[in-house]
Amino acid sequence: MVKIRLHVNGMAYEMDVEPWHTLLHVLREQLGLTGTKKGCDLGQCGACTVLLNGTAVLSCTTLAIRCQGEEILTIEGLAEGDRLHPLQQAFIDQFAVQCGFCTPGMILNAKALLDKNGDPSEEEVRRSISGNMCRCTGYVKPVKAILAAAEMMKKGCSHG
Amino acid sequence: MDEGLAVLGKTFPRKDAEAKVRGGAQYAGDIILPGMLYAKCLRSPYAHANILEIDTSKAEKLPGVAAIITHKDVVPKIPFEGSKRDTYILEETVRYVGDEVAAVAAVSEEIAEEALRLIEVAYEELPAVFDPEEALRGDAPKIHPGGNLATYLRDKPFTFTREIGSVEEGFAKSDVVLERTYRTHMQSHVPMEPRASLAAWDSTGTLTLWDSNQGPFEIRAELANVLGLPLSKVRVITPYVGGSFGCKIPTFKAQGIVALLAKKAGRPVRLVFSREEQSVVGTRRHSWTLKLKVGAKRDGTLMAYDAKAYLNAGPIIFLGIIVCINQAHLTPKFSCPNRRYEACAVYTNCPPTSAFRGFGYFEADFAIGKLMDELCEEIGMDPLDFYLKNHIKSEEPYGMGQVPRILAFREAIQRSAERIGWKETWHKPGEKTLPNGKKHGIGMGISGGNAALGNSGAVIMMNEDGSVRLLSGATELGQGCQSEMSQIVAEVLGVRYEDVFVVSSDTAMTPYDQSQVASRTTVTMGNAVKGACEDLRGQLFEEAVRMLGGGVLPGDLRARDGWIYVAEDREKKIGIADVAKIFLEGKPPKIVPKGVLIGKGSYTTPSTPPPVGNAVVNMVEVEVDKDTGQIDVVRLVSAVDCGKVISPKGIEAQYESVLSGGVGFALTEELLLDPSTGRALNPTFLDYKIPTALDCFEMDPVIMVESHERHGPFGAKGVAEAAMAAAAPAISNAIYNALGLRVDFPATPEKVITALETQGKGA
Repeated sequence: MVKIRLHVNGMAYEMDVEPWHTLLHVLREQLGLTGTKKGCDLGQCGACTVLLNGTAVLSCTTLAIRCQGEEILTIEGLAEGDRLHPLQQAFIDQFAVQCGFCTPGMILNAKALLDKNGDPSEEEVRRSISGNMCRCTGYVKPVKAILAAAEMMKKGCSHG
Repeated sequence: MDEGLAVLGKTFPRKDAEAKVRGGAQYAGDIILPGMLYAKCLRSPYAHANILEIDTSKAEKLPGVAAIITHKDVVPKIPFEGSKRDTYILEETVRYVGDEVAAVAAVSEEIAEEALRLIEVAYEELPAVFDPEEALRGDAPKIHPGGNLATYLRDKPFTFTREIGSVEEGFAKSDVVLERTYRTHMQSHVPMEPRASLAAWDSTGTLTLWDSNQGPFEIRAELANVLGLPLSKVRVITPYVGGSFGCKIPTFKAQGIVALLAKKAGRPVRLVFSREEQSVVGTRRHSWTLKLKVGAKRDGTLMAYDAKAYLNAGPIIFLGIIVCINQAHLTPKFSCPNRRYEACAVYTNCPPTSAFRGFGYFEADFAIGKLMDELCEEIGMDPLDFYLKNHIKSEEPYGMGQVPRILAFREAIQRSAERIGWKETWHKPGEKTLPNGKKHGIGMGISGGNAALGNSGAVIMMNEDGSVRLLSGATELGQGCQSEMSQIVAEVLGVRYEDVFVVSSDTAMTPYDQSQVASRTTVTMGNAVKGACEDLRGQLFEEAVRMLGGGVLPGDLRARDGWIYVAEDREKKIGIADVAKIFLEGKPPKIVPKGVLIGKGSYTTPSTPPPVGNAVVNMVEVEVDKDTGQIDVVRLVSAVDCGKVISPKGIEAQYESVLSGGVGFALTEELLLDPSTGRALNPTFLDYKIPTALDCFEMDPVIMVESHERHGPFGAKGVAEAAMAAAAPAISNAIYNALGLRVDFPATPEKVITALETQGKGA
């Protein structure tokens, strides 16, 4: 076991992990942050997406020990108390959530896009979530939601 | 005075959406209990084998291992009732690559996996069979003691045979007769959430199982059966489910395994399928050999239809017999005076099956759609004209089920045709090359399934502030049933949608519900919820007339937007919350509480097959690149007869899933087995290709045809299961229209190029 320090959603945690433990495992099983989902554990489906210093990564193929000193954002850290992030609000408004299992990963990939490019084209939005597998929505309403969130953020609503 | 509906047909935010976007929605695999152990299963590497010996001694010594079970631990040995007694939790024979052999519970998944490697098993490999017609031959390896023809009851082999009219006479009168054999392929459901179960026993010997399924009551009944427990000692709770589409209906060995491990270890045990396990063990689409024959007059009048269906059911029958019966009841969806259907379900050593959206009719309507398309070409008829002439009419008995249903096929076909511009766009096969060099094709297909089944109950309880709790066994798989039921509550009770709280799918808390299948929830649970609300509303109205005074009778009252008021004198009103408060709390010192405000309702579908179904139409345009073999769906129009619309966004959302189940089935998805070993070759996303956000095309918002369903609450009926069922024939026919040749599904570029080269057509 190795002692590491992780910064998750603005809080610092000290914990013992095995060197081979993935960030996904540590988030879910040790920190109880189960909003990040395990869809395949193979780096293929995108359900485990978190942001590492603002960049979307697959937490199931990221080692926990390599994340020391990095700012980790999971879905639980996106809202500010009662106030949802525009992406979260847009996913609700646009009916883009069905079973919800792909939703956290998809929202975080979209956040990584919108934080870099506040006015994406539909093609760019599709590309940003092309690694998020979804079986329920056909991606139609999620894409609409991300574009709607971009509009909200352009109008200066930092949180819906 | 009829003010129209207050809530139904309008859009409200889904009840579960906020929890899901916050990451707070709990699925079975998210629950962590103190002392919880992690389970892994040892699985057979052989498609068919006897287990001669299992030695777990080395595995037991591994630090961190808490319990191991093998078939020796399954005592008493009780077969699964829901699978016609062909399966046990663990046994000495394995029947497909991946079948459970043993299981370990340990303090971590890694240690459990390491322990699996230390279990020594001596197998006697047996010959295996993977094709249903081969499995029926006399010399085929016997998969179950009773033979490979699945039995309905232990000793009676099942064959469904029924004839209406005389197909022999019908064929004799036909000008054109076509006979074809179709084999439909294996598709994986690929729910994003792999199946998960968490078992915990308490000190009264009661098992609680949190489980990802489509209905906790059937799971409870089966677990009580195989574990030898009374129902009162088993509680099944279904949290949010991350998609299912049919694969999570049955009670699996895995649930029995996790219960036994938890009992042996004396600690809670969680078992979560890996993605590979979900794709193989977690069941697949039923695959069929369908031998179809159709006879018609030159003017397109159908004279005879004959179908022989062989189901490749895998090694566990589960719903294999019911799916044959369902297919018989629901197909063909064409008017034909003479028709015959014969089906049997056959055991094979392929991965197991359960159900997949379009239960039996998806595959049959696919094959029938291709056959009718060929017939149209043979007689020189535009398919649209053929479908408008021959689709089953509303309330016309059809298939073998013969139950009249309201089905608005005509309007669905006409509106789809108008939307896509069929008459302007259709051309003869192979005739249209686009300026970009690709071949253009347009095709259509029809389908539809059941929209009611079995029985459901609901209870509604009002709080002293006028808010309500709905207790409903309906499981939230993603289809939005919590929200839809809340809309019905708001409509009937007159409370606000926001004031409805739903307690879901817990056998200890919610009344019986048969599970979320067959698009049954809108009608069966919807009617139960409506009944419960009417019961509660009656109690409120009785109290309200006392409070309003002046000779008002309950029949004079209406409830809407949080108020109870006299229909003819709207100013004579009282708040629902005020009524509830007096009823439940009284008003000290003079008025005492009346009691509790609880309403109950239930609904039983009046017949089998159910008298409610839906009608779905797809029309599709494709572009095919003859150099690369790439097929692009460029436009897809859907229409569904959905009865009265309760949640328009809900239906839209369901119909957008056609991308995955329908287009994926057509173009990219196939679960491949190694033909010599029966092992699945592509159980992960890498090699099993499901559509991604880049596989976009112009998907028209679904056309909602609002017939009025007399059996449904407010005229509504369910439509979700059939959402993907008309896409396969539509796409197949569109590809034929583009190229003038048939390509087997999934129509990968390789198959298109091969077809072009070998069939030599397509100018």
